[in-house]
Order: sequence, then structure tokens, then C-alpha cells
Amino acid sequence: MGLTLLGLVIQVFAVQDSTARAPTEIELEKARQFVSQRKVVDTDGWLSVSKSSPGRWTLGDGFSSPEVDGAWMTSESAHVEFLSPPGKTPTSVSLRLLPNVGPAKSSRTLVVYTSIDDQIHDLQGGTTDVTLALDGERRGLVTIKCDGLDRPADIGAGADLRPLCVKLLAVRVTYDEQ
Amino acid sequence: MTSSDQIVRSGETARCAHSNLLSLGSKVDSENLFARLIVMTAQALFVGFALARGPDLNFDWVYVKFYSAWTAITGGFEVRGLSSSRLLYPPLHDGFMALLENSGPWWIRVAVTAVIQSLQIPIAFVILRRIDPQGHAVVQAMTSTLALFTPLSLMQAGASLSHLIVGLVLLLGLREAVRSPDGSGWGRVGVLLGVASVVRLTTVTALPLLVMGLAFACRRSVDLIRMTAAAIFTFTLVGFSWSTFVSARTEWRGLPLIAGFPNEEIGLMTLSLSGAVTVLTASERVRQFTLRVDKWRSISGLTSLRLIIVLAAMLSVPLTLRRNVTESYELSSLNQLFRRLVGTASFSKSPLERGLEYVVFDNVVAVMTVCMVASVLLVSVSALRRSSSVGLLHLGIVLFGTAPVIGTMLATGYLRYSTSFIATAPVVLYSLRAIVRSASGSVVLGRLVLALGVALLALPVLPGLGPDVGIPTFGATGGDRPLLSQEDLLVLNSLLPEDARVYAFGTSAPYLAARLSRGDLSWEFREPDGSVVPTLVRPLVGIYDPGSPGDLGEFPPNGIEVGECWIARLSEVSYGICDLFVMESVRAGPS
Repeated sequence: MGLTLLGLVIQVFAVQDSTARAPTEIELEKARQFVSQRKVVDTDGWLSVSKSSPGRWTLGDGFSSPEVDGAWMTSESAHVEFLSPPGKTPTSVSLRLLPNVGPAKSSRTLVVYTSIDDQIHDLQGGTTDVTLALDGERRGLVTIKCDGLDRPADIGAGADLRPLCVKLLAVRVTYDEQ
Repeated sequence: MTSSDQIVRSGETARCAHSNLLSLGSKVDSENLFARLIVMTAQALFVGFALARGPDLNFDWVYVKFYSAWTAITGGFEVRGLSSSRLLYPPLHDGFMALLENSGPWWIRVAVTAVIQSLQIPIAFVILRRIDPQGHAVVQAMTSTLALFTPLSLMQAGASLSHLIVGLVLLLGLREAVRSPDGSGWGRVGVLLGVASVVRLTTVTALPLLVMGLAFACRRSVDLIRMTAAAIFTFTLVGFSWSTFVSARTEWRGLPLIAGFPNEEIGLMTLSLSGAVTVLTASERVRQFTLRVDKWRSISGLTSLRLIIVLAAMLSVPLTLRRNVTESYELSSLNQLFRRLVGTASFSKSPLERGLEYVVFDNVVAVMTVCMVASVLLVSVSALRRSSSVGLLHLGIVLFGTAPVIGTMLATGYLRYSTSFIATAPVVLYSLRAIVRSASGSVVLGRLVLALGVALLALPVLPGLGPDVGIPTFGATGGDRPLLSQEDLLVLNSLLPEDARVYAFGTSAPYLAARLSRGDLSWEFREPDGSVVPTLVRPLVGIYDPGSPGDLGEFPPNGIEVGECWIARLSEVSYGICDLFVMESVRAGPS
């Protein structure tokens, strides 16, 4: 008990010096660039957005923290954001989606759009790939709008209590051959 | 036979006896050595189990307690939101945990916590040796491992939940109580009860039931009074000391939360009175006087005191424990109570509430319920028949261990609260054996009861024997990796400008604040106060959960414009970080 108390006292003093240092202006700017650069998609194949994949950085607002296989859309509107590598022109983007459906909610309607393309999809279960045209700009943005959020526990789709729409599993950006 | 023959014979007998003693002694030594090995191996296994389960990310810790405790021990009381409710909780346990959390990799806190928790096993063993010195040490060592090796305890291995630490303190108290029922250790027992109450506030509500148990183990009323007074004095002293400290550091004025007194005067009176009684009962004159009262022939002072304490404990269940009722677990029928007392499962009323409780198979609550009922019945029947003398010490031990488990379950329906007391299960089983043996006169029956109890307790953790139910982790919010790695912290730290005022939304924001521990940042865990916005001059930053971007909508109505945002998708958690600006129209004021 005495040793524990002694250890506590030592730690309390140690704590005073353990606080992190504030960043300089340059470090702040570098950190922001670091976060932005993580959105670069430099592969032509499917890129998982799971927690262990670098593709997770393409998840914008509206997606909860990535899980082992993808990320749930937990807001009625969500974004996928990415950057193209220098010298490459993106022509289309594909999303692999898994809807939150169950006996009490058999389908889920999504409006998906980019700056030059928009589509409506009625997802009824299983994974669905959705492909949209891109305007060729380096910064790509896909917006997904959902017809509503439901708790899987309420629609007979499991025990999850979070209000969910669709799970985004992977993203693929196709670049111009040139 | 000649005298020389007799001398030779007696010499042989002596040598034989000496040799027998030596062999007996060496057998006892090897038994004790083996028993200690079992105890140490069990401790090591427990610590290994805790580490194998990965970082402790229990809900309470991540969302509330870590930030609350960290700000308290570092002297910052700018607590807003959920954590503010804990401002007045003395951070004895959580403060220590917070220090460990920020002292290095995740496993340091888990390992240190598990090592401390594992001390339950040797202490239970010491108590068993004390109450049954003739018993087989190896059997006692194996039984004492059941203080921790039950699913309900294993679920908390290495976790910052304080139940197992409370269990450890209570075992220490029980060890003092059984060490010398007639001795001078009862003041220390009281202090330990007080410490247990400080470590976890909900223990205060079970205090009358704990005292009730010890009232039967205690043989002199003066010791009983001293113990009770010391317990009350300890936690009220800590409570008032902490509230005074908080008052000195903030503008807060009020009562210490710990004591739950209706007003400050009653609180201070209780503190003074319990302190005075603790001191007075140490004086020889008072002790002699109470000893004379104890020996009155009609009804002794001790018996009267026990009766009063039992009545008070019974009354305390509806009066005090009711405060802790979690609505989802409130009892609605006797049938429901019965089901809770004889088994464990998901106790919530609907599957949607399972987030607060877990499906787990553990017999400990049922075993303790049966032990209490059986002990009370056997002692009562024996007393009525006056056919045998059943030791009140053992009844006291059984009540000390079981009454709070049942009382807490009865009043709150919340399984986790009752796990503070299940550490006493091995000791309770040995005491039940003593009661059965004494009441029935059968040693074999006593052993059978003990063996049955041990088997029932061990069943859920023996591979392949119990139902196929795993051991979940209480309140886990994450997986097997730490919520924030050192690299994550570096990135997040660099995204927060110096001297910023941070408005943070999202459940894991307080955890981030405590992990960063930046003295230059000021944190608010709620929407900005519109009245102070025009005066804000520091850099403003908003942190939100990207899964709930709607929180950003809280800023514009309060005169704050949301600028550029960066979303950090870390491997275990995500944060959105935005520049915020006070709107020009708000800065200028109404025209």
C-alpha cells in the first residue's frame, strides 16, 4: 500500500511534464497536408475501406468508424472523398455497397451522385456495385443520400442498435488510359 | 524389563516420535509450498488472461471516467458535459488508473491493474488458512483461486472497473476481522470498509449489510462500534477533504457527493461524531465499560447491538440501495427476483437493452444465495434446539460475503454492482462447511457441501463442462487494439493549433483530450455558449464524430462559422477536426 502511494506521488510529479507540446504553424500545416494526402487513390483495383486498409481515409462525413470489412453510413447523407495521383485523370468511381435490410425493411433506396452523374438505386440485399462518371478533376467527391436509417434490431436484421443505412465495403477509381 | 531397557525403549519412542514429527513437518512444508505455487500460478494466469484480452476500452472509462479523473488529478476542473457529473468523486481509483493510462503502452495499465486484482487469491487463501488451520492447504489454495476465476470476475480482468479492487479491499478487511476476533484490528477493518466505499461509491450503500455480517464475527460491542465509526469517519473524511480541494480550485460550493448527506451540517456532524467515537473507543476506560455492558445477563449489550445493526441493514436495502436502480433492470416480480438470484444471464427486460448487460454463465450469485439461506436456517435451527454450538464467526463471514451480493441484486437488479462482493465466495463456502459440520455433527456432510459448492463455482470456467458461453468483456467499446496509438496521437496533436479553444462532440472526444493532455488547450464538450462567443479571441476548433456530422449544425446558431475540416480516419477511431470562426456579424454586435 505504501509503495503504491509512493508510486502515485512520483507519477503525479511525472505527469506535470508528460503533457504534449503544441505544434508550430509549420507542423500544423504539415499535419493537414498529411491527412489530405492520405486520400490519394493510386490503384485501379478495388480498395477496401476497412479499418486496416488505407482506403478508409476516403471516407468523408456520414460514415462511422471503419470496421473489419467496411464502414456503415450512419447519417442520411454521406461523402466519399479522394484525390487522384498527379498525372492521372479519373473517369469513373465505383462503390461496393451492402444495404441494411431485413424482414421489416426489404429494400433501401439511395441517391448517389457526382458533379456530372447521378443515379437512384433500390438495394435489396447482398452487395451491389454502383459506378458513376467523374469530371476528371483531381479531387473527387461522391455524395450518397439515403431514404432513412434503421436499427438492425428493429428490422429483424440482427442485434445492432445503431441506426444504419448501407455499408460501404470498397471503392474503385478508374483512370484514363493515357 | 531393566531400567536400561526402559531408557533404550523411551529413547526409541522419542526418536520415532521425532521422526514422525519431522516427516509430518516436511509433509506440511511441501503441502504449503505446493499451495503457494498454486496461488502464484493462478495469479500469473489471471494476469496473462487480462493481457491476452488486449486493451481495456470499457464504456465508462473511455467516455467518462478517464477524462474526469485525468482533469481532477492534473488540477484542471473545466469539466463540461457528461464528465462533470463525476467532479466530486474522489479520484482515488480512477486517478491511479488515469496515471497508468497515460504512462505508456496500453498493457502497462492492464498489467498493473490485473496484478493488483490478482491479490484477491493469496488473501482469500490466507483467510482460509486462518478459519480452517487444520484444512488441506492445497485444497484451500485451489478453492481460493475461485475468488477470481469465475466468469463475472474474469470479465473485468485488468479493467478499470473498480469492482475487483473493492473486492480486494473487502477481503483485506475480512482478513483483519478473522485474524483476531478479540484483538485490536477492528479499527483497521472499519478503515478498510471506508476505503472500499471511497474506491467505489456504490459500496457505501452496501455498507450496512457488510457491517451486519461483521457484527456476528465480532465478539465485543466496543470493537463493533469502533469498526462502524471508523468506516463512516474514513469515507466522510475523504469525501469532505476532496470537496474542500475542489472548492479551493473552482467556484463550486456544496456538499461532498460521497456521503449523500441532506445538508452540510449533518455531514459535518457525522464526520465529527464518527471521528470522536473512533478515538473514544480506543481508550481503555471506554473499552472496560462496554465490556461490562456486554456481560449483562438478561440480554447482553453485544446482542442488542447486533439486533439493531441487523434491523438497520434490513431497512437500508429499500432506503439506500434503491438510489442505484437502473430502470432497465428494476425488478417487476418475485419470479424475476428468483430467476436473478439462482442464475445469471441477460437480465435486461428486452433484447434492445443488452448493451448494458451481457449473456454470461456463472453460478456464483446462485451459490452465494444458497449459502446465505442455508447458513441462516442452520444457525437459527441450531440456536432454537440448543443442540449444538454453531460459530457466529462463520455466520458473520457468510453474511459479510453474501448479503451485499443479494441486497445489491435485489435493489438494483444490476448484476455488475454485485460483483464487488463475489470475491468472498471461497471463504463463504468454507464457512458454510463449518456451519454444516457444526449443525449436523457430520464432517463428511460438511466436506460434501464444500465439494459441491466448489464444483458449481468452477463449472463455468472448466473447459468443456459448462454451457458453451464465452466470457465477454464488460462494456467493451473497441477491439483488441488500443483506441489511439502513439502515431495517432502525434497526428491528432499536430492538427490542434496552440492555445485553441476546442468544442468537441462525440463520445470518444473526452478520451482524446485526456490522452493528449495539452495544457494549452481548453475543452468544451457541448455546444458553444452564444453569450460568450463574441468575446472569443483564441483559435477555435471543432471536433466531431464523422459518423454524426449533424453536430456541426450546433455552431452557426451560436454565431460560429465552420471553416475547413479534416477527417482523420485512424484505425480504431475517427475524428473530424474543423477550423471555427466567430461570425463577423456576431463579433461586431447588433447594429
